[in-house]
Amino acid sequence: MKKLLCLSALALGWSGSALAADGSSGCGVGWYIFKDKSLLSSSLRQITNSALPNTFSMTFGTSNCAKHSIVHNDKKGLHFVEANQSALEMELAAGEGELLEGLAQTFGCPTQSLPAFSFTLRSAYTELMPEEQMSSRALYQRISETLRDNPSLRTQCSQLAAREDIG
Amino acid sequence: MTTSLQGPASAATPTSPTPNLGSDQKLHQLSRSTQWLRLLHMNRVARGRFVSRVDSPEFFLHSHGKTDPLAELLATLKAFWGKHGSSDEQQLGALKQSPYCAFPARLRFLEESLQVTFPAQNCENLDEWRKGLNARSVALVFSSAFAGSAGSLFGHTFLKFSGETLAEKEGVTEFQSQELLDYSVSYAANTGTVNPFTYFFYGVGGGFHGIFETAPFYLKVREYNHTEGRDLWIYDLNLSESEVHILVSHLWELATVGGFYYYFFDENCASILVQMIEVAKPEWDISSRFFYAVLPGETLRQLQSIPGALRNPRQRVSRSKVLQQAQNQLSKDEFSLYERALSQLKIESNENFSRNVLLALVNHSEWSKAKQKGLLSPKERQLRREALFALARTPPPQGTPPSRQTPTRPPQRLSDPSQAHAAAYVQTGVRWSPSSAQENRSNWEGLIGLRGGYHSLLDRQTGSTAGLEIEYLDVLLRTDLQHGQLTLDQFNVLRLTALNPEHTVSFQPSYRASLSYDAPSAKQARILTAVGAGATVSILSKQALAALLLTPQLEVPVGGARSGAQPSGSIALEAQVVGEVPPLPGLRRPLGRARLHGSFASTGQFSSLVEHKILLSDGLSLATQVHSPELAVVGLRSQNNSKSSKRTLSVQWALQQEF
Repeated sequence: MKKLLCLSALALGWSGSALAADGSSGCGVGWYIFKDKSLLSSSLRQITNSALPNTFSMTFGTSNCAKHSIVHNDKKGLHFVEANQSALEMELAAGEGELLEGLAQTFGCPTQSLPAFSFTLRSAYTELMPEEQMSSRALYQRISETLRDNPSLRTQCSQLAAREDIG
Repeated sequence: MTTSLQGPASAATPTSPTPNLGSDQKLHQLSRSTQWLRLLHMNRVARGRFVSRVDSPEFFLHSHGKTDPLAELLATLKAFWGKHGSSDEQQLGALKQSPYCAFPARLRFLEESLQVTFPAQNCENLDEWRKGLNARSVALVFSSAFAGSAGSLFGHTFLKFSGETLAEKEGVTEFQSQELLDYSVSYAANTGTVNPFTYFFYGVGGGFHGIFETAPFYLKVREYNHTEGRDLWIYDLNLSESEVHILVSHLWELATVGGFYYYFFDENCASILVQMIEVAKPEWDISSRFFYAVLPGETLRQLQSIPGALRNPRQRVSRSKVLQQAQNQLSKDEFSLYERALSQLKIESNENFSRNVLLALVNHSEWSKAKQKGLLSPKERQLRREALFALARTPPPQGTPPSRQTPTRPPQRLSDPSQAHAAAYVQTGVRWSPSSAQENRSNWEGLIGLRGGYHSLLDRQTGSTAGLEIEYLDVLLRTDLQHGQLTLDQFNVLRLTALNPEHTVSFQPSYRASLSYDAPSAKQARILTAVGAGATVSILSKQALAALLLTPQLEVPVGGARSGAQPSGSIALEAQVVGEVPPLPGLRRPLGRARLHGSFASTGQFSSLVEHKILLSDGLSLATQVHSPELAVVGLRSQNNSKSSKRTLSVQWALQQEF
């Protein structure tokens, strides 16, 4: 059953919560000293799991000895925005910075498109952030839309068109 | 005689005939080869006897695999020849993998060594993970010491895989930011939240369970640079693409079927990484050089000593340093505007806020957000929002590289941890104490000692965290030169001092803690514990630190000589100045490092200590200490009528050799 859960998470790349894929029966069979019924072990497990943002699915090359969070290609941008949102807002407004470059990479934008990429998002900052506290998903959606409205970026960034269904 | 493996599959499948693998002797030799022993993480415990460090039984296909490399080799060969999907095929780990899929590094090693090809299987999990990781080069990442948590005092190391080859990376002239989307793999104790007592005993005794964690590098940057305010140093490892492939294969073996108990002192984040790197690069032999513990910084130093092993060193600075940098770029007028906005928590629309001021303001809000665990007050949030909108209206200056704000840079040599000194030293010297004659002891004593680790404020500061001192297992024996008897003089179990002089962003408290035993004479043995806190400032154009600490301490007399003596507590006001001794006129080099230490205890006792240390040659230093339990100036008067047998003054010189 656990294997099934695990594999279905791998196949669909979506399980609602990454935690579901992590069958918590300890590491391998019977060597791990804290059995999963013990209080200590279950609390440890929760802490480990909550260390990663868990609203998005990741593929799990999983065993209970390891957490292998390889982010699905089509979720890369969304996960990136969620993990870095606060600092990214700063760079969106500043029109420069490494997170902005990383974001451009998740959209498959080549390096030479970076000035246009930064300029487009900086100019649209007020529209990107209509509310003070935006959900990552909404911010990501607005960023994608803004970029897609730019014909030049639309052709240059290889992953931009492919993301229309996300949001 | 030759060996052929009679697996049930080989009989059933004519397409995979059992090969002739050569003589028993050849297989025996292979099972003793360095590479096979490394793949199994075997420790040679005695002549011809081995024990693997891996604790999970699933890692061994033979029931005696943990101690018998040959049995494990034969069992592995048998499993690789076995028919996939047959009823007796082992299913390993949570992924229920076949041995073929669970042990890709063993597979490759055996195929290459024996010139055979095992029947291929489809390994979806492994392939998907490998594809996601997209590893073509690998870097070692070191995080600086973090005084906020005991497990992080010595720093931390992990690996970062990149989709670019080493050659491609070296073609890039500027430090660019493609690294954020790389994957990092770290090995850490799964400690969760336990009390400090459990933490210590589980940590030392192996009660924790180690886990490998793969995560996008940007999450590590967020954790270390942003949340914990630590710097990261990144060194590309000089491994070829195929060596990186082996490293990833072996990592898969360890992470999916291998498992270790985590020991802070020998099976920790650094030692496991070293063993993994050695599997990929057989000619590097690092783990055999360590003598008792593997410290993350020591790993770096050892790798640095292999010519060409570490490439493209770079430093990624913490959020607070980015903020400092943003503040430093402000002119005097800009800075007062910045401070006013921070205190009023708003931006006056009639004021002219330059881009630099706005950048400093939003950097400040990022920094305080990290400090306040993500929470800003409504007014702080409003200021942040206003600054962001204003910032979006000011274009970045033309012609600057887009990565101008990137916090990655070539490391300053002074802070590069791969250039740090060795953690341990032995010392030998003499002590002169004029008043010892009262106790029928000679004025001169011989000294011999060992310091286990790690770094003192008198040591060479290159590569260390500024103001942080951690010394442990520092043992000093003395011998009376007349009688030749060897006695324990001092044993510093732990001395931790964190002097934080940086207050540009906010006030940082300083503190110290120590646990030691000392016996200046047979009648005076005692155990001392002290925990203090206070403040530090930088003086002499940042060449020295001056600190004032208030330190409660507890003294427990031990030994029969003073039976009846009670433990006594006191509180001391301590002042210390520590730093470089400026060069004499006409000389360029500073004259070593020195510390002046004075304390005034609530019992009315003064004491003072002057220490000096100078590097004579590579790893060899001369250390001088002048100690007066009663401050020399005040103390000398009482020398003649003193009832106590305390020495009033001692001077010692010692030669210290690092190793």
